[in-house]
Amino acid sequence: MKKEIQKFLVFKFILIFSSQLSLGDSRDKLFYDAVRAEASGDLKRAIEIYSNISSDTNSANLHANLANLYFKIEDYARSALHFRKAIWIDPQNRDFSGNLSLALEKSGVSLDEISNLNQNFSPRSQTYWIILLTILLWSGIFYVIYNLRFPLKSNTALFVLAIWLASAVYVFSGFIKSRDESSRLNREIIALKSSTSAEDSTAGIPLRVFAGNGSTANTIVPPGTSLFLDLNDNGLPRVHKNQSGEKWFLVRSRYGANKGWIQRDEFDPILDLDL
Amino acid sequence: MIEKYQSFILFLAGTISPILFAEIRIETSFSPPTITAANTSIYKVVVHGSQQGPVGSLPQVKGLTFSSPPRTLRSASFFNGVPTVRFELNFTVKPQMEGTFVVPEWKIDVENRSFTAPTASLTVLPPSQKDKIEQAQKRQEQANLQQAAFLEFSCPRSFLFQGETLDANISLFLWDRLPVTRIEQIPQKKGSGISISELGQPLEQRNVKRFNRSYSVYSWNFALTGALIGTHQITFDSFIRVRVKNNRNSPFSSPFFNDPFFGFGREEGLKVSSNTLNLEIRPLPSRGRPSNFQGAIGNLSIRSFPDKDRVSVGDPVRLTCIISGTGNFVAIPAPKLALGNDFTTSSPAFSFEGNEATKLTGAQSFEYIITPLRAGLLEIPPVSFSYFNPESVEFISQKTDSHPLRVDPGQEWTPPVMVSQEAKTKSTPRKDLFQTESDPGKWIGKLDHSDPLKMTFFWVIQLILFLFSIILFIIRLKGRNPKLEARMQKEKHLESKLRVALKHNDVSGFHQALRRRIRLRIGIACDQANTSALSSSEIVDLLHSKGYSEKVVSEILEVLKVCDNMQYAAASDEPNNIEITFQRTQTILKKIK
Repeated sequence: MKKEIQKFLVFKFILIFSSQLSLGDSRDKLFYDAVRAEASGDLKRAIEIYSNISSDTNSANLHANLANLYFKIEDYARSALHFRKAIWIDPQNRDFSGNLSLALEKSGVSLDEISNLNQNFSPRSQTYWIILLTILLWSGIFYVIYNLRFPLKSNTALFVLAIWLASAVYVFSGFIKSRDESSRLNREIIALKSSTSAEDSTAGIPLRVFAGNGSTANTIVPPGTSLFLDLNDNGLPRVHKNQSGEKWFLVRSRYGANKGWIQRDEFDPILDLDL
Repeated sequence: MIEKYQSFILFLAGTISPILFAEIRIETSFSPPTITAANTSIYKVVVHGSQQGPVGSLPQVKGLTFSSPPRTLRSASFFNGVPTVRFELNFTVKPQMEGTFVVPEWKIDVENRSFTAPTASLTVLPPSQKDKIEQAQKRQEQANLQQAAFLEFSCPRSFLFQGETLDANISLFLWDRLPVTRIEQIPQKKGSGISISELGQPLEQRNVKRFNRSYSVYSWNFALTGALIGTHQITFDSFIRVRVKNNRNSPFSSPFFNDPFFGFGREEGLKVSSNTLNLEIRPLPSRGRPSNFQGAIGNLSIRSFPDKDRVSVGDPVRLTCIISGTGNFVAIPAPKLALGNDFTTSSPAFSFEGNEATKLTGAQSFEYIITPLRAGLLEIPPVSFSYFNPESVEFISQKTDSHPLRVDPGQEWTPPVMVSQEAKTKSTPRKDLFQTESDPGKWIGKLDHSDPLKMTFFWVIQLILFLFSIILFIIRLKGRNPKLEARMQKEKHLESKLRVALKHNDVSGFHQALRRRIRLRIGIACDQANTSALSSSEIVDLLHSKGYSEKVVSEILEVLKVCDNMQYAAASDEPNNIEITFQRTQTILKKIK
């Protein structure tokens, strides 16, 4: 019985390991297929392959290549979207940032509209801030417990306390700031012209007063604009599903000046969200 | 009704009428009327009977200087029961020579009426011995002040040519004893006809000796360019802030005798000026001036090189011309290329390598993009360049080498059409920005960002730390011994008492505190509550029971004995002895723990 269990576990491990290997091989193979298709001038085929890969897995170069292709076919909004994805994976790559600026410029989107890319308070830095805050807070608590002296009489102890307090306030504010950025990124979407739309891809996207095609628009934003999903009391996106099954989302501009309803096929989020 | 206020009206009339209808009288005088040449006097003009400001013009008296504006004083008083008013003007008068000076009568208008101010005389005597000493002191103070902080401006030549750039230096010397808080204003040039480059960060030197004093020196190197022909005076001023004693009566100009710089006080601004240099700006000679001379002055050389020697028709070639050496690089324009009909070119790009602050020494590069217009073995013609050498006072012309260029026939080249700036920005961006990556790089799963506060691992760590802190708290709480802490507190108190006694040479108090402290420490070390009541033999037994060495025990007993003798037998002890005893006890107590 014991041996059978052991055999089963070994078999399962080999199965998982080999499937991972084959998955890695298949996506690499597809990637190279896309590169070849692009080199041969078949841009649509290359985009199709890259898009298929990106539905399951991601890499910075995959999104950058996809963004380049969209740029070449003059779909600057999708180009900007995929550059944002590439930058999220590899924030240090300056080429991606430069290309993103150009794509946004082509879309007619102001650079102020994109997220604050200050690395110190970026969403990724949230983890470092919380680690720092944890160390700082607990070291303070341990210091007090170890000394167990209240009220503090010695000047050194008071000095240490002041330094600790100032550091804790600073680190806490850094954590809050990066947390805000993280929350913003989790809600950030890029306005796109529907791929099935026959209209010019550079035409604006209306933010409608009501969740319906017949509604008038509060404002029209250029494709490639960063918008932010409005959340309800449960912290979920405010969504409306009409009788024909179309999903509408309430979105706002970066500083909340513009607001309106937008259809699901008129935007894509930067991160993979369940919408 | 009138009767009711009659007395009041009469009083009012009696009081105001002497003021309103008082006769106006003018008096002038010097106070004091006799002074020595080093002192000042006050010229007083008193208008009796009016409080209105007089209008007039004070006559000029040769040999006397009147301060302006004068001090004014209005006053009203009762004199023998009669109210009087007056207006007083006080001019401070400084004599310039000895003798008797008379201020003549002069016209003065008061309340739109004209009056005559009478004459007044002032006698100025030769300076006394005291005056002479004070004047000598003042001169010495001025000289000292100038030596405390001064600017030294140096220029390698007394002349320069129009458009020429020279390397100059300005140094701010600050005497080390002068309590300078900051340099408020870096040296500023005064004088026209010469322009200077921006003064950057100074070079700082310490302990520079001048006038048998030690100075801190801040030096700025800058470029000096002659702009207008003629002789120009150039000087530099700087402002520093120094701390002076908060004594308003002490004149700031006498810092060294009153020594006001040290200690706390207020800050004062101090202007520091440099020596004045007369610089002559000469015109460039017109004889022998080459036609391609464009204003370059200095000691320069030129060279050029292309980045390719073989291209196709229409392909760009980068031709770099480098002018290097010492000269007025700011004013050197790009040399003109005489390319003929085989090439076309555009405006060059500039770059400078060298001293960016002065742009006096270094290399100026001009990058031309030239495009061959026909195929064949062409030659990029030499670039000619002329400059004026101020050392040898002559114009020098130089030429670079010509460069062969093989141009292959390529696609037919069409001259570029002029495109608008908007069209330029809309053109496809540089190719290298959109490189396709041939390698997928590192694969990752979902694009998401997990919240660290929602991670179980984070809260497990917090829980562990919380539990650890609780355990530590309990351990610390249990480990506390209030009695022991109280005794340790008491020992600390005794130690401070010992130090106080030591400071005030209180021999008796010192030994009393020392005895109590040693006994207390023994109590702490041997966990004995009341050691002050123990006899010497009991202390010995106690220490032996705790395993202390015989040497330590005997040392303790010795010190305790000394303490008992000093406290009860009132034996005298020298202050330095108690210091030694204190040090010795400290060493012994370290052994008892």
